[in-house]
Amino acid sequence: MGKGENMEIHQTKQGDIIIFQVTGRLDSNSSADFEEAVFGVIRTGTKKVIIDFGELDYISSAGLRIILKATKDLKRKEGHMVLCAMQDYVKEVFEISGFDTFLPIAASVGEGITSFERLVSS
Amino acid sequence: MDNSLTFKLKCQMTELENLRGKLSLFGQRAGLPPKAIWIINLVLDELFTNIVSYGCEDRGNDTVRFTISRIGDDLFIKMEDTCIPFNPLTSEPPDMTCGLAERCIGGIGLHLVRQMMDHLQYRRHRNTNILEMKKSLSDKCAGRETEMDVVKPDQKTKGKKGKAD
Repeated sequence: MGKGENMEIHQTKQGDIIIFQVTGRLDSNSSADFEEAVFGVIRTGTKKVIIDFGELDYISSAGLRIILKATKDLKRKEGHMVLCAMQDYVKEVFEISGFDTFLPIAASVGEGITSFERLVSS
Repeated sequence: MDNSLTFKLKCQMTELENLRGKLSLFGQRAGLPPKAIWIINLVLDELFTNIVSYGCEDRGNDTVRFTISRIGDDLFIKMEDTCIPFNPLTSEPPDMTCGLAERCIGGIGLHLVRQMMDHLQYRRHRNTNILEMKKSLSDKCAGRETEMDVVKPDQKTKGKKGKAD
């Protein structure tokens, strides 16, 4: 789907869940592509979004900004976003930023899909 | 010596890719562990992005000069720019206690910088912002319990990894 120089985004649909697989580097250069992709599906009414960070090598606060903005937007629309399969360094950025306290983080995409049932019922 | 590198970047976001390339090359030559390269990339990305976004007045001509040195198990980094005066150490820390609705992104980048480096010192000399930083390679990293695997330059040539002293 979106393709910056250092980042690729692949979008798939599983039932009513949209899954974005983000590969490469999410920084100030690529965050606009990521924002466009995520908000593109939120605008069309998607309420369940999974971000698969398994192949993400790098994230800066520019990427965190989009994650925070999208999470807030989805919550207002009674939707949810789950982040999955983060590599250790990427996960550490979320932890140091304190984002792990309010963002659902799953070990795998499969767990992320399962977690929607809990999120929706809570 | 391969353990020191000086370079300049134009005040343009597209230079982030150059920054990554320079740090990767320096890291390999100086025998830095991948995690240390990753951390200094993030720290310098945040500081550089901040300057490009808010500090520079002439993106066509303004530059940021970086000097990185490895001395033993310490990394010393200096950033110099002639953009508007800005001390990144005096920025308000983000509120880490509030919930999602009240959470703001402002200040997160500089928070990451302060958390990931061991020592930061800012001064304005004549028309130049000078930020000096230190990172210990054998230090516990950002509150994590595991030490970074440190590859010393002499060990790297033999293709062996070793723990820091």
